[in-house]
Amino acid sequence: MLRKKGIIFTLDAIFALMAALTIISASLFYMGQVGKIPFNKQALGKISQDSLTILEKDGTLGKAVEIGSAATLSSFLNSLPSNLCGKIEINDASKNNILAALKPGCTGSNELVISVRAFVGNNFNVYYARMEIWYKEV
Amino acid sequence: MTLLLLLSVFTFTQAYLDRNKELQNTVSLSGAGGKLRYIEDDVISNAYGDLLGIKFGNITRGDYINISFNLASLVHGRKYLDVTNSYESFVEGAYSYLNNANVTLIGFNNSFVIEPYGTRFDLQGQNISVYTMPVPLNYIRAITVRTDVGAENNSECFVPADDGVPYPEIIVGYTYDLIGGGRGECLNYAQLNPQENNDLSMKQFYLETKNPSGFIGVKYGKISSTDGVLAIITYNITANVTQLDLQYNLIEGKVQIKGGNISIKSLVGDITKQNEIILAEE
Repeated sequence: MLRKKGIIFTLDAIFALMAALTIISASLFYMGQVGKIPFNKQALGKISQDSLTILEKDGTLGKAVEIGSAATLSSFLNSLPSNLCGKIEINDASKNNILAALKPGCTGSNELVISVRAFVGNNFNVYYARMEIWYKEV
Repeated sequence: MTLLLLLSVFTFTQAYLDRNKELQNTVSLSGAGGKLRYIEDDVISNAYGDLLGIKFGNITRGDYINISFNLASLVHGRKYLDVTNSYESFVEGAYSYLNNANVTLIGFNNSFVIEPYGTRFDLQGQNISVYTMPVPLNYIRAITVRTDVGAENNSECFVPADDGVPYPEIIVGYTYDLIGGGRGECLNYAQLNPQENNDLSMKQFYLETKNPSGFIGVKYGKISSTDGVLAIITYNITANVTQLDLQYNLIEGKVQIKGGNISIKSLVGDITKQNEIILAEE
């Protein structure tokens, strides 16, 4: 009798454990699928888009192409907040690189955001600026 | 009891995952929507003016509608249609690829339209044609053209015969270099019938130049069987049109300068944005 009871309790415990493990595993599986919400990337995207818009509308991009110097672009990158890194390239419509500037003290990152802005030079040719932006690794 | 607790934990994690996915989707869509607006601003905000060398000035409404333009220069041999076609190819090709979107420009070329009057501007290198009468009604009251011809004058400033009231007043001013130094200017006007060929002398508002040898002419009226056309024609000179003002009688509707349409399809979220290209509005 006692033996029968023991078997029943053991089976009950095994089933309970299996049920618990199944539910816990399923819960862990779901938790594992929870992704990071890309608020940071969105903020970086906004900053790079705003930066290129300013540089186009105040004529900095056109002027840089006209004089063939990226000095004004470097100076703009230097004025970015200290926790941000950035790189700006200017290319012609055939994707040939003409000018490039990188914020000093910055190296590349895998977590970067890229924005592009087209503009027309004083010579009526079409160019585009490509800005990479990322958080500085501490 | 334990089973209930475990089931509630399971339900909670499932709900958390669903919420997270929903939030991620919302953030992605919001980013894609913002990017469409950015692309639209990028492609249409400055491009038209920069490509055609034209500044869209003020549109003011009072007793009349006044619209002013400032054109950089009419350069002999400049092919505006090639310039706008090249920009369109770039935007629809490399630019679309770089932005992960399909951007299409419709009716983006070397002309633009003033609505609701239907006046069409057509820039052809060294010449400009302004078609002011798409319908038989004339709304134009006055047109002012001031140009720096950038050369010495080699003739008097010709003026066409005045047709009188009630026809539009055409005011034309030329600034030029004087032979032997200094600057000169002539400013003339005439009221001209828009439905008449006012070009019988072949020289309406007309000035010949030397150094370089060429000419500039402004015509108004029936040109090539079309009524109400203003044509600025230059030959072998680089003329700066410093002022081009149109004055219209009032009609219903907001005045807008339009240069075609843009369609942007984001490859993220499958969103499409379509809009008219508004170059200026009152």
